[in-house]
Amino acid sequence: MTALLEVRRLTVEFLTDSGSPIQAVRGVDFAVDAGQTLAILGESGSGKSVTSKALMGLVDFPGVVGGSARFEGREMIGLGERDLQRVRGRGIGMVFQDSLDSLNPVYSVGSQLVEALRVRMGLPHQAARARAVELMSEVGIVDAERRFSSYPHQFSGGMRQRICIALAIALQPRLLIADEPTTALDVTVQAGIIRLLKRIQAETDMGMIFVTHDLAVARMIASHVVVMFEGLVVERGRIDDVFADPDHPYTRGLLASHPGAARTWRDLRAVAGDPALEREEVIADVDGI
Amino acid sequence: MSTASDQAPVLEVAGLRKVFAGKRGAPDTVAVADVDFTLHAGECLAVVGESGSGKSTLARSVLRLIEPTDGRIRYRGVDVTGLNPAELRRQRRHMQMIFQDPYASLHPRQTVYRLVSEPWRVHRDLMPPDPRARVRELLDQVGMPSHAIDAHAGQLSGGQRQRVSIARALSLRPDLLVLDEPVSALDVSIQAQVITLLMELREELGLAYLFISHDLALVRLVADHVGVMYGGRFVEYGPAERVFGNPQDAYTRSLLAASPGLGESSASGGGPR
Amino acid sequence: MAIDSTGARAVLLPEPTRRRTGAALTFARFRRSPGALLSVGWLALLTLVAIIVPPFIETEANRQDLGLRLLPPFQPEHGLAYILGADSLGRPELLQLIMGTRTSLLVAVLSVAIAACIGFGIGLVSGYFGGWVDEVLMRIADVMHTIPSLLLALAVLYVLEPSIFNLVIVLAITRIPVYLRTARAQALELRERVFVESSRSIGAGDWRIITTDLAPMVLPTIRTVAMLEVASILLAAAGLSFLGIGLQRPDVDWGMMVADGRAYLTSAWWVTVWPGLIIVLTALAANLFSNWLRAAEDPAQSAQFIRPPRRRKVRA
Repeated sequence: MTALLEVRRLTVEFLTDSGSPIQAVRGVDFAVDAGQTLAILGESGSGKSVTSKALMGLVDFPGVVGGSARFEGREMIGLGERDLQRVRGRGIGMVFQDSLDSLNPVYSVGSQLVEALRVRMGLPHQAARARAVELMSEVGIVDAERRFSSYPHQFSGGMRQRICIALAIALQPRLLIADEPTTALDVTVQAGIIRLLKRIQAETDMGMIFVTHDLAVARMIASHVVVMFEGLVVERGRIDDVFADPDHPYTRGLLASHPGAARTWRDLRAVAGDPALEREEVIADVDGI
Repeated sequence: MSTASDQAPVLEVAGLRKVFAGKRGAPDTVAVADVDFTLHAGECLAVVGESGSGKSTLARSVLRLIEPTDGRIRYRGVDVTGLNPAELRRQRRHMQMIFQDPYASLHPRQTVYRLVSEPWRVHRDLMPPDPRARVRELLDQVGMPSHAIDAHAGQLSGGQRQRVSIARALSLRPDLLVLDEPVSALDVSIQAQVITLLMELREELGLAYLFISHDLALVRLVADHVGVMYGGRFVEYGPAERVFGNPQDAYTRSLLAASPGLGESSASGGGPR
Repeated sequence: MAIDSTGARAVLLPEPTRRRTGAALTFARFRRSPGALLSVGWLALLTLVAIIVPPFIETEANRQDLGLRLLPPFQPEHGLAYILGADSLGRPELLQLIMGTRTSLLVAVLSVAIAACIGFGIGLVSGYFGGWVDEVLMRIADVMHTIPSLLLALAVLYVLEPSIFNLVIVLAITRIPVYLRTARAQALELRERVFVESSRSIGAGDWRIITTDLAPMVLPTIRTVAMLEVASILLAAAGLSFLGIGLQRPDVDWGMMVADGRAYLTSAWWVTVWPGLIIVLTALAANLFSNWLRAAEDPAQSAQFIRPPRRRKVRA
C-alpha cells in the first residue's frame, strides 16, 4: 500500500546575489499515511515551514526545490502550475499560522466559504451557502447562520482559525498540512483547536502534517514525529517512543530545555551549556531572507 | 546595622489603575484595575495571564511608559507617580525593562556598542571612563562574544539580541528589571539559555524582577511570588508554591489545567539528563 | 556541510558562510547593473563638466556672432565650440549647454536640498508629536499644497527680480510639502515601534528620540524622494525659464534655451532639441538611479539581482 505522501531527499535552496545559496532544506525524507498525523518538530531555521510549503509548490524563485514528493503516487516537485492548482485544496489542504492574513479582509467569512465550495466543489449557490453554514457549525462557530456575514476582523483569533480550518476541510482534502496553526493563540484556545483537528481527522481519515516548535502540542496531536534541525531530519519515529527515549543529542537537548521537564531553573543550566544545541550562533552575515 | 531605606521594598504598587478612554462613544476599557503588590530586592514576582488580561499594560504602567490613571508607585520609598519628566528621567536609571520581541526592541541600524552605551549618553554622569571596555564587560556578563561589539542588530539571532537587550538594561546598574515575556519569542532551546542567564544575574546582582509571562511552566521555575491576572485584576496572589500547589481561584485552576505539560511522562521528567 | 561524529554524538557544524552585506553588497550590485552605471555615469559627467568647464568658456559661450547665427550642427570646419550648431544670436550651442548645465544643476540641487531639509525636519516633528503641533503644521502644508506652484512662482518672481537665488527659494518652498508628508507619515508609524519605547525606558527625551532613533530611519526615504524630485525640479525650472520668468540673460539654463529656439523649431531644430534632449536624459538618469538604489537597498527586492542559473535540475 503506497503511503499518502512520500517525501524523498527533499532539498530547498535559496539563491542569493550576496554569496552562495542558502540551504534551507538539505535532504529530508518522511512519509504520511491516511489517518495518520505526523508532527514536523523544529525550531526557527530548521527548515520545517519551507518543507511544508515546498510540498504544495509554494516556494518561488529565488527558492529552488529538488528531490521527490509523491502524493498518492504522483510526483509533486516540478509539477506545472495548472496541475498544482488542481491538487491544492482538494488533494492537499493547508492551514497557516496567521489566520487574519489568510482570510480576505473585505469579504465576509461566509462568502469566502461559498466561493470555495462553488468554484472547487461545483456546488450551486444555495447548496453552497447551506453547506458553508454547516461547516461553520461543524468547526464550532456558535450561531453560524448569523455569523455567516461577519468579517474576519470581527472574530477572535481562535474563532478565525476555526474558519480557516473550515475553509480547508470544505474541499475534503485527503491530506491537511497545518503550519503552526496554534502558535499565535492562547493556551486555552489552543487546546480547543487541537481537539477540533483530531475530531475531523477521525471522521474523515485525513492524513495530517502538523508543523510546530512546541513539543507539548506535538505530543497532543501527533502519532509520529520527525525532528528537524538545520535543514535535516535528525530523528524520527512514533512520538511516544522518541520523547521517552530520544537518540539524537539535539532531541535530547530539546526535551530537556522544555520548562515542564525541569524542577527548578538550575536544571535548565545543564541544557544551556549543551553543545548539541549550538547552531549558527556565530554572528551571521546573512542579509535579508 | 541596616537603615530603613535598605529594607524599603524595591517596588511598592498600590491601587494601580489604567483606563483607556473609549473612542467615538465606545465604552472605556479598564486594562488594569486596582492592583497592589510589593517587591523586595532579589525577589522575582511573576504576573501570569492570557492575552487581554492586562499584564503588559501593568508592566508598562509600573515604569510609567503608559501613564497610570490612578494609584501609587513607589520605588524604594520614592513616589514616582507624581514626578515631572526631569525627575522621572533620573529615576529611570533604577528601573529597566526587557521587551518581548527581540527583533523589534533594538534599533535596527545601531551597532551593539551603540545600543549598550546609549543609556550613558542619556545619563551623562553615569558614563564610565572607558565606555568600550565597560561594554565588553557587560557583553561578557551576558554571554556574548566580545567581537559582537561592532555588529549590527540585524546580524544577530533572537537569543543574541535578547542578551544585548539585557546588557543594555544592566548598563545603568538598575535595581529593578521589568521583563515583559522576555523569552516568549525565542526558541525553546534558546529560552533555557536566556532564562538561566537572567536567574544567574539576579543572584549575582541582587536584582528584583517583575516577570510577565503567559507560560505557566516557565513561571513555575523562576518565580518566588505569583500574581494571576484576569480582566485587569489579580484573581490570585501568593507564594509560587502555594499558587501552583493549591490554587484557590477557579480561573487559576483552569489555566493550570490547560497548560500543556509533556503529557503523562512529565511527572517523571523529560529525557535523560 | 561538515559533520563531526565522535562516537555517539553527531554534532552538525554549519559551513562558514562568506556573504557580502550592506554597502559592499549594494556596490557589487551596482557594478553589475548597466542601468545604474549609465545613469550615475551620465550624472557624474554632467556634474564634473558643470564644475570644471564654465570658467574657461564663459566669454566664448556668450559671444554673439551674427555671421554664424543659426549655424547648423556637425560642421567641424567652424571648430569644436560650434559642433552642435549656433543659436539665433550666433552663440555656440555646445558651450551654452555647458553653461546651462551649471545653472540647471545648481538650481535643482539647491532647491531640493533646501526643501528636503526643511520638509524632513518639520515632518519629523509634526509626525512625532502629533496633537495641535501636527494640526497647525499640516494645515499650513495644505494651504501651500492648494496654491498651484506655477502660479506662486509667477507671482513671486514677478514681484521680485528673477535671479538664481529667488528661483531656488520659490521652487524650494513649493516642494516642501512632499518631504513633509513623507517624513510625517514615517514618523507617525515609527513612533509606535518598540525600539522607541525602549529608548523612553532608558530615559531618552523626545528630541533625542527624534534625532537619534527616527531620523536615521526616515533619511533613506527622503533621499529617494529627493533624487526623484531633482528630475521634477529640473523640469519645473525649465518650465519657468521657458515662460520667461525664471532667469534672465546672461544667466542661462536649459529651459531658457528651449524657449529661445521655439520660434525656429521648423527651420533650426537644433536650437531647441539639444537642450530638450539633455533635460530628458538627465531627468531620466535621476529617476532610474533613484529607483535602482531603492530596490538595491531593500532586502525584500533582492530577488531581482540574482542572476538566474543555467538551466539544470537540482537533484540531491
